[in-house]
Amino acid sequence: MEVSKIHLRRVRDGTLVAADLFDDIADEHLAMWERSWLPAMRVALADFRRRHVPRDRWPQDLHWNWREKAVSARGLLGQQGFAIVCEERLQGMMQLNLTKTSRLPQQRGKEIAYIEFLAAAPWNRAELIREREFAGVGKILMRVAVEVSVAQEFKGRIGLHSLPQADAFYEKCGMTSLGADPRYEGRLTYFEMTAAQAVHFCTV
Amino acid sequence: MKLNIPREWFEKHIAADDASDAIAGFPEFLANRSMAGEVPPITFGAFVSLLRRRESLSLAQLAARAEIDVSELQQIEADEVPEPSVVHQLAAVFDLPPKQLMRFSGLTAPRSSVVGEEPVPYAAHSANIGELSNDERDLLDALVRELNARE
Repeated sequence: MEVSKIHLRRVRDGTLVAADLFDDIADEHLAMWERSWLPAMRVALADFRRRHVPRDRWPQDLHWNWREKAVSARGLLGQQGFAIVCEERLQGMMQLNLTKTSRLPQQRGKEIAYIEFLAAAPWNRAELIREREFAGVGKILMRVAVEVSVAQEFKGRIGLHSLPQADAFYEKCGMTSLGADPRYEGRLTYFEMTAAQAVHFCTV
Repeated sequence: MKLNIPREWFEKHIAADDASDAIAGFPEFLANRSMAGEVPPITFGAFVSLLRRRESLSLAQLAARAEIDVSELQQIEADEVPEPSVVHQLAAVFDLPPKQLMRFSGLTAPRSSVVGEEPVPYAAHSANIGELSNDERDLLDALVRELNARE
């Protein structure tokens, strides 16, 4: 397992804080998920129930079992997990699938890094908590997906399925929407980032 | 893999007031359908085993054709991580696109394995060369089709 240095932005004072990016979702991360992330999600779930928030407005990852996802992916060729740790707390996780191909006409059939699952920890999410701790987790994990894509010689091409609530975010990242995916009852929007869009996304 | 993302990128792209939430992936209500229309995942070892049995080859016979050790082939079928060169040799024997065989969705092999050494000669010449069932044949056909379609 390799560790890379990254930076998150602390929302409270706007400063950049050093964080570790692990190129695996290891047992230590799953233990952190169980210890703090999962209980926080349960609190959020109880709150949504109490406030009678309609089910389709609930975060889609409320019931995600990262242990199951990570452990089953461990055996898979072409699967790669990532975890971000900052100040000894787990801040986000991502599971990549490197076996999918593009659906965009201009790059159809070419390999992409497909983001199977991506989520920031509940304390970093505006829809779950009033004062978030760190900003940038989602965007950084997207950047990581692009880096993996480049390393795999996929030229930065990535793809993912988003729920309507997150569509604006992916548009802002410069991705192309291929619209509601009929394979999933039209409830998920499929997005791809082309090689050119990836270059733009990574520009400083 | 080690990443080297410059600090300037974080400075420029991550604002504290950017409250957008990035979540991607299948929500629970669709989770069971996420594999719809896709070939069910099997391990790389199981795939090799199906291919071998389709050709009615024993472990020893396939190992000879692929020019690898019987013990190595047996480890692969027990889901040890195969060497890339061995994947290429197996691809050649079964006439499959090697690059896709390496990357094929759902083909699995644990990165670490606790599978011990089995007594090779017995397994090599007797066990597990039975004919494929219809289900196994359907699965194998679907996997091979998918593999070739991606090339």
